Amino acid sequence: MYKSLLLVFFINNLVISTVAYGQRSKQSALDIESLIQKENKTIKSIKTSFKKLRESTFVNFTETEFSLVSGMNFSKQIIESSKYNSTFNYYLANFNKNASKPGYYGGVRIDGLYKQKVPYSFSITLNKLSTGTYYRDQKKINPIVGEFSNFKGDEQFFTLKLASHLKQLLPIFNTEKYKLSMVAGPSFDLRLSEASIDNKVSNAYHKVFINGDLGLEFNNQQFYTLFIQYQQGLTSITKSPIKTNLTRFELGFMIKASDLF
Amino acid sequence: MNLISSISKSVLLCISLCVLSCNKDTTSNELTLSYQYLEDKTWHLDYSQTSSLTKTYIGQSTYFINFRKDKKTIDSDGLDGTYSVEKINNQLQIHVQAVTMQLNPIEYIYNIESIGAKHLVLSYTTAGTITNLFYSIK
Repeated sequence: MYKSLLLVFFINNLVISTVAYGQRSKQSALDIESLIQKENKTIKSIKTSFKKLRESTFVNFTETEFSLVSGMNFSKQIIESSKYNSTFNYYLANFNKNASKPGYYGGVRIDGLYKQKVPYSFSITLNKLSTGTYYRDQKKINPIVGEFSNFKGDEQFFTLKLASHLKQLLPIFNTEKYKLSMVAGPSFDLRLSEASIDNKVSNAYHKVFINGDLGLEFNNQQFYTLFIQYQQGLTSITKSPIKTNLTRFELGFMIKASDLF
Repeated sequence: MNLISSISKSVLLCISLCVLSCNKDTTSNELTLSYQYLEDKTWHLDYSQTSSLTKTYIGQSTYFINFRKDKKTIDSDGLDGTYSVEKINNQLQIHVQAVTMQLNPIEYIYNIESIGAKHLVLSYTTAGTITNLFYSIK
């Protein structure tokens, strides 16, 4: 599935590159400066039309700022699978770990005011999750010694996350310089990675994971923002009868796009 | 404006592809996974269980069977032949076609009750009595 997504982008890029190459070879006789001016005009017109579209569509969203975000996440799955039966057995001693594992993410974020008074943020990030898997209940295969499960959770996920948060400034520091805010809101992970062969059999994982996020953000004199968030799965990320709760901590860093470009 | 509209459509198309993409047939995946766990291993018989009687072979010289990646099999009784994993009536089975040391052909089918990376449970029925065989890799 992830491969098909890449293929679409690749074909898209290939077509755009081919067209651009054709155009450039025809224009090779033209003056380079006029070409640059033309390109600048095109970029400007795209920017203007994008701005117009944004302003006409998102009338209630003002003072928008674009930022780049990046950071680390620590994730764990808590699995209840005793009601699930299959032919396949997994010896839990090999992978039952009640611990969070580190992953990483990066993306873009928009901050602004809703109806001139409510601070909000909306982010789109690509996430590499590497999760610990903790099995709350186990099965026996008598007379074999040891604990088993008929379900093995996938430990690696690649997701596209959309998060929408409201922010509340906490009056702790000198808020002219330093801003500490509490953030809360929902987020949705769209699973882009394929399931492992074990989970293709059970087809256990949902495509979309729904989370509730709560966190703190620290802004240092508008230079950068550091944040920490706890994300709790609001629904099971696996289909019934398997119940799997995904919890995640995120540590992140955010910087305004206008400061970089 | 047209460009933005095209980009939006592309993004929507990609998301739709992600959400709606089909899964490979489950039975085919079950067979693939069964082969993956079975292949290139020698399985040693630890227990046999008939009704409530359980015999243990742990710590003894016991029956073993090897399933190779090229779908050939050989066991400690000298049976040499080929094997395949099938799903018949919603039941995974191992089908072995072999010859004895005296070159007599022999064919048998075991039901797969449970299979994993290190533990395998097979069963067969004779005269209405079910026997479970518990194998492990050493």
